[in-house]
Amino acid sequence: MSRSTDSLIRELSRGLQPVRRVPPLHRVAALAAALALATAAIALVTWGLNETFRGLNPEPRYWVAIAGLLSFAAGGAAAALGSTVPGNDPLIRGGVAAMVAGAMLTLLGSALFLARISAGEPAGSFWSALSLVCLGRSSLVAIPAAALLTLFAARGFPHRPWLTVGFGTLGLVAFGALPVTMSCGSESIFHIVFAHVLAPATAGLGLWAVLWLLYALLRSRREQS
Amino acid sequence: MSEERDERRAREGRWSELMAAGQDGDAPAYEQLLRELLIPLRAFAMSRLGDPASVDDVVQNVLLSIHRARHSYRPERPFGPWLWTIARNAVTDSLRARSTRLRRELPIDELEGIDEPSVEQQPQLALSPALRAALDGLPPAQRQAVELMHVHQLSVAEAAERAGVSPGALKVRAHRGYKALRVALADEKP
Repeated sequence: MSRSTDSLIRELSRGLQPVRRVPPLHRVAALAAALALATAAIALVTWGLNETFRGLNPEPRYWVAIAGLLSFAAGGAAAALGSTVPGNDPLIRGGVAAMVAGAMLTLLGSALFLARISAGEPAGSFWSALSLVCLGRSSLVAIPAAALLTLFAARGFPHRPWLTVGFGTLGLVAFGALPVTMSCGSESIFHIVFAHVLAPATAGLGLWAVLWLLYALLRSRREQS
Repeated sequence: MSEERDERRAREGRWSELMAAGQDGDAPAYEQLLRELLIPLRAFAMSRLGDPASVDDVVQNVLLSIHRARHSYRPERPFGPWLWTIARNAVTDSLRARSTRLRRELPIDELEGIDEPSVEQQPQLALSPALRAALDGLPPAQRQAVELMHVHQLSVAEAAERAGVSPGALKVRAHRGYKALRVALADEKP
């Protein structure tokens, strides 16, 4: 052993203080899931189901989009949890695979919606005040659980923290898009695609930036203490 | 094959216990763990780098990462995946930092005829009287590390060379120096 490595080991061990361990992943996962489900349930009760979902028999394109958003959401949360604590590579790989599968399904769902424009369904405008409301609602539903995952990331030891925060945020915005899709009354195809199905890529990016700032703030406080 | 596996399991089980003790503040157990990890970490770094000259620096970076990440280990989980993820990430970061440094460095023949400035001739940041006083109150080794890296703005490698210590040891000194400075400056605030 070189003398400098030996002195480094002595220096690291000298005056060693006890540390508080990170909570177990399954406990954080259960808490995040409970928080996300409760927020989505409150949102659905508050906003009410739209006509498409009131009869519980929406067309297949809706189910494709919902399956995609769900897969993307679960994958994002799993990848965020796995990358917060070292040694969870299979969880990260599984989470990223689910996100990719979810993204493909949401793109397929978007294509199925867009294909209806040629069949005479109303395309509507690409951007409207309602889009802002729906994107804001997706973010609102995502905030509690995404903030919890960000807090956990700041407590853990992520190798690429911006990616960890991104996985969790984009995933939970996808989850937040579910109650929005089930409650919004707009039948405009562009609105549904842009403000519902593709919400993780639109509202998600903004929330990612905000939660990244929160992470940086928490981390700097933690390092100061 | 199965004997090897059992042996590895037993070794990782012991490391897990040592780390759990270290997390509770048991310094001798923690020191023993870091010493036991040296040989496998060296072999791992060597297999990734293939350059014996830089293995020591990289192993020191891995040890620092393990130290910073020690709160993220949970004793009910296997120790191996936790350790090797940290080691792999630290080696990746070291390789990236080294390639960035190599891109910035000038070939030696372009430096002929240029005298190396002394530390005093190099650019310095102006310090407030409060910061200067807090800096003067640090132990000499920590003060030197902070001054070289942040007052004289030298890279970690240059500062370590001037201080005559490894980059890892210099980072530890600087880190402790910053912590002490924060405390000292926070105490000064009304």
